[in-house]
Amino acid sequence: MSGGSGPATEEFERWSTEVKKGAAALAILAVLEEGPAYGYEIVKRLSDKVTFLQLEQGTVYPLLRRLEKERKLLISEWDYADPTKPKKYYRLEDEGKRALKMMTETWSVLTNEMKELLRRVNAQ
Amino acid sequence: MSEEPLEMIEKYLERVRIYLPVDSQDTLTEIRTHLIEEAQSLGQGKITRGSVMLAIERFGDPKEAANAYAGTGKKVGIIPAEYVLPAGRMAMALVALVIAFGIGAYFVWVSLSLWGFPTIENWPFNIPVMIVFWVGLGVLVIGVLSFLDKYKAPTEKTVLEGVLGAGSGVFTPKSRTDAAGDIVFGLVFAVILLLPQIQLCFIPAFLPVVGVMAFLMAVGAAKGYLFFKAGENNANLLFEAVLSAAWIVACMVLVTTGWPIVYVWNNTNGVWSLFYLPDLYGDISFLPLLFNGVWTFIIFIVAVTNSWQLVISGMKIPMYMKAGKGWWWQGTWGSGLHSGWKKWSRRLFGRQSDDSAPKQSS
Repeated sequence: MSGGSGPATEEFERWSTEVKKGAAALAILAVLEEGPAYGYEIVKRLSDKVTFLQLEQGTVYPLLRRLEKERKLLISEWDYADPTKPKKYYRLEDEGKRALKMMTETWSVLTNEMKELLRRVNAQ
Repeated sequence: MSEEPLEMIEKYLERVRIYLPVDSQDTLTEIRTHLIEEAQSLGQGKITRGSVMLAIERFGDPKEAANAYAGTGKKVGIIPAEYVLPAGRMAMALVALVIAFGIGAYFVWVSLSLWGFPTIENWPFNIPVMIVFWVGLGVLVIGVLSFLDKYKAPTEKTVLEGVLGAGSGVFTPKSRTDAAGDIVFGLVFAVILLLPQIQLCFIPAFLPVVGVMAFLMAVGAAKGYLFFKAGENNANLLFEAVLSAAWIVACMVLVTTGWPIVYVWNNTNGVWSLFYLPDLYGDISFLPLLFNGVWTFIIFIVAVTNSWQLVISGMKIPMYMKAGKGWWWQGTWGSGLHSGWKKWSRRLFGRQSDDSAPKQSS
């Protein structure tokens, strides 16, 4: 998507990082809307469904932790069915569902308006 | 699953652990499961050295991975964020060491002054001076080691981590083999100390404290039993903290008695007799000082390890309280120090002796 170096590339990279950072939380909440999932499952679903995010595997877990411990949007439970690989299942709290709803609405408005705006940019 | 690739994962987790806060067992278990599943996926159902290596590389540098979890900033004062936690632990160990040394030195000074030796004038002002000196030296050592570690692979433990991780083992729960060791050694030494034949060997100044030592060792065995049965929980940690404090107080007294053994049992032609140790001193003039030095060193080590244990318990109890654990629950056990011990403890006590077992609730 980007090429070379210079102020434009630098600005693009900065902007791209910010967009991804904002979208990652929404993507995780959306994945969990489908049902409870454990860390590795979430990582896999994200890398399959939202390639744009290009999330490094190590960054998903801290984000899950933040959404659970600090923002109280998720709740987790350990599953010891396979003792060699205990799994921490995450699911949405009521607050998480509310946050997802609001974020989805804002995201829809944003993408529609940006699409409209960018159509004119592309037309030029 | 073959043992070697899994050991690579454990080694990587040990590296991550160094940079994480104390209450991070859940985090490590989650990362472990991730790495196993990723390696299985990459190896098409099998875990191989190659697939583990790739999984680890994908997960990222241990410092950065841990730092993302710990949520620290980029720099804290002059220390890079990733070194704040291990450096903090080391600083605490140094403070505990200096305090223990200060106390020990004070009593040695008292005992030396009784013998007419020159006294140390600047106590207790040497304590802050020593702390500043050691912290400064620590910063210098970290700088040099970071430079040496520049080109190490992600799966390879760095020299710096070896240094920073020294002592981080105590943050993991006590293993069942260690707890069993506490029971056996506590009881054996308590009984030995109370034997009249052994008490004949001690100097009179030491005899009043022999009973106290035997009592503390027996209590140590009881502590071992509690850890063996229930693993790490707040009640056991409090027990350990109180016992450590008692040992520190005992050390203050013990260091003043000097070398306590005056007779040793000797067997000549099948006949046991007592050999009077000061008979050796006549020929070798520095021996009394050497014995007293050895005794001071032993007491110093006991004081340091107990000070450190007190600090660790003091950190863990509020941590578990904050997590809503209360005082008593069936806790987990850590693994032993050596892989050989790990294998034996697994055979003897089952999988629960693995320190990667997560807490019961999140």
